[in-house]
Amino acid sequence: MVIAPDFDTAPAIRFEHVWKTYPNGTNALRDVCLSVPQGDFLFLVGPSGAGKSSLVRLLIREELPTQGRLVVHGHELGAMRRRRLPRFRRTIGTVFQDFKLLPRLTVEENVMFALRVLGRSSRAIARQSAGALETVGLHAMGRKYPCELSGGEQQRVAIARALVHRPRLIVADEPTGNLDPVTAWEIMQLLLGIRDIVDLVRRRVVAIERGGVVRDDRAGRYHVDLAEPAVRS
Amino acid sequence: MWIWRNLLFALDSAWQNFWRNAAVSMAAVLSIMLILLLAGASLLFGHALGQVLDTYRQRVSVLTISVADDTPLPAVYDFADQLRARPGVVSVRFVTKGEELERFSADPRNQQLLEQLQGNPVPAKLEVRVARLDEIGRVDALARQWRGVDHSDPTDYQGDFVGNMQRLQTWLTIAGLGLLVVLTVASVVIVMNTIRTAVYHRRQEIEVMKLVGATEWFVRGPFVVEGIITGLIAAGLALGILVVAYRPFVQTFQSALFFVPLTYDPRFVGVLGQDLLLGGTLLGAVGSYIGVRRFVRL
Repeated sequence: MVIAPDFDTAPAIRFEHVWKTYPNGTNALRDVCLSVPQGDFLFLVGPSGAGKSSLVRLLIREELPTQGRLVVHGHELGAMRRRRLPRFRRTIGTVFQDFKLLPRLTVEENVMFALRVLGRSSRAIARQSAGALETVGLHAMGRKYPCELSGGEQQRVAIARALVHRPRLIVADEPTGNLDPVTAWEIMQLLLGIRDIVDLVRRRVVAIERGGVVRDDRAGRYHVDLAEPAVRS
Repeated sequence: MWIWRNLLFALDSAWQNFWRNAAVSMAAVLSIMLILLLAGASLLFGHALGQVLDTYRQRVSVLTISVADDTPLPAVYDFADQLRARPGVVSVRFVTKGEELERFSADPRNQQLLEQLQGNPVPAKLEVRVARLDEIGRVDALARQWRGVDHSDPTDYQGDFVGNMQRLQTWLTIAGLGLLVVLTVASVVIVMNTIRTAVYHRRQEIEVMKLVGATEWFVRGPFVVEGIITGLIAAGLALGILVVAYRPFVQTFQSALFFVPLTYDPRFVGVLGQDLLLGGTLLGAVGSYIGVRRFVRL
């Protein structure tokens, strides 16, 4: 799932004939061409192993394309120098299936952690993280530890952490994958509700199979997809 | 401002992590302490040996050249000037036959011998004092080629002793350097592995840091600081032990081997402290930098 909360006309993300081949010879992505304009709310759907996670890893530049160009907010990721990477990643909020919360830190500290890394002042950190926790409806749970929360609540914390530094782009890799259908639905509602903050204008579903885009439904069928827990991200 | 905040974060994080993995940290501190203790002890030993050698060196830095009786005085002065011009030579003194005889007869053990001899049998001497021991050999070679030398007993200095001492010192220096290299490598490997364990415990944290846009130095900072803390504590402990043990060691040595001129040198404790603390800091920093390098790459 990709949320690009802006109204600029230039595409936020552009995949140009992108291939990703792993050292063992597996082609995770085959000639993917995809353009995501600013302001899009895009669902990337497909069966397990279709290449969704590879696409996400390329997007946050955890990996590089083997072939083709990937441009995010005007930066070609394949040509980006390593020392530019932190600044680039600060423009993205990432949510994962396994939440990736730090167990030794409280809910509040987990959210604050994203800002602490950026070297913000303590006052700004406290204010922004309280705001983010309020957005996900967990402001009363700031002092609890992740292990004391349900799966859905943990994912809310992860979403708060992804939002707290006000990214230009939110990338969620199977955010409901570990949750039961009801909680999954709540999380999707929460992500859709972010539009109040990010002014979403469009929703779009892109289906991917065996590494290639097989359907790009600009009308958006996310309600149908949400009703079927098998179809995620 | 943000640099200050990042530094505080690194210090705070390193300190917490050091105590959180207390068992691993203590194992590293103890291992590095033992290594620094060995290094410090070898430094102390080297210093003590240096002290002893210096004392002997002062004693053996004089070479006497016997002058043949038929050598004209100007030739002696010429040769003395030639020697004085050499950079390693401190002073050259001419001792006449008369002076030398006085000196010889001053020793009561020579009285009987003197009674049997007629005239003045002792040759005049040139006493050459050198600044460096290696110069003594060269002056000796030069003197033996000089025409005015008394060939029956050309020069006198404790050549073998000096040579042996120089060889010993060279070998000990080489051995000390070798030991230092081995100890350095060992402690870097220990710190590296300790930090790797810490990194393994905190891999999730590192992953999240990288995802939210932390720079490599922001991730690396706490680990490097932790390595420095480990190195400094180890160096402090090793220094403490050495300082406590140094004086009794010297005293025991002095009473057991009274003829060896070894003395307690408090100034060297300061030098040793500096070396050990600097060494500990560097070992800790380098070890953790290498240990964490692979994991912080963005």
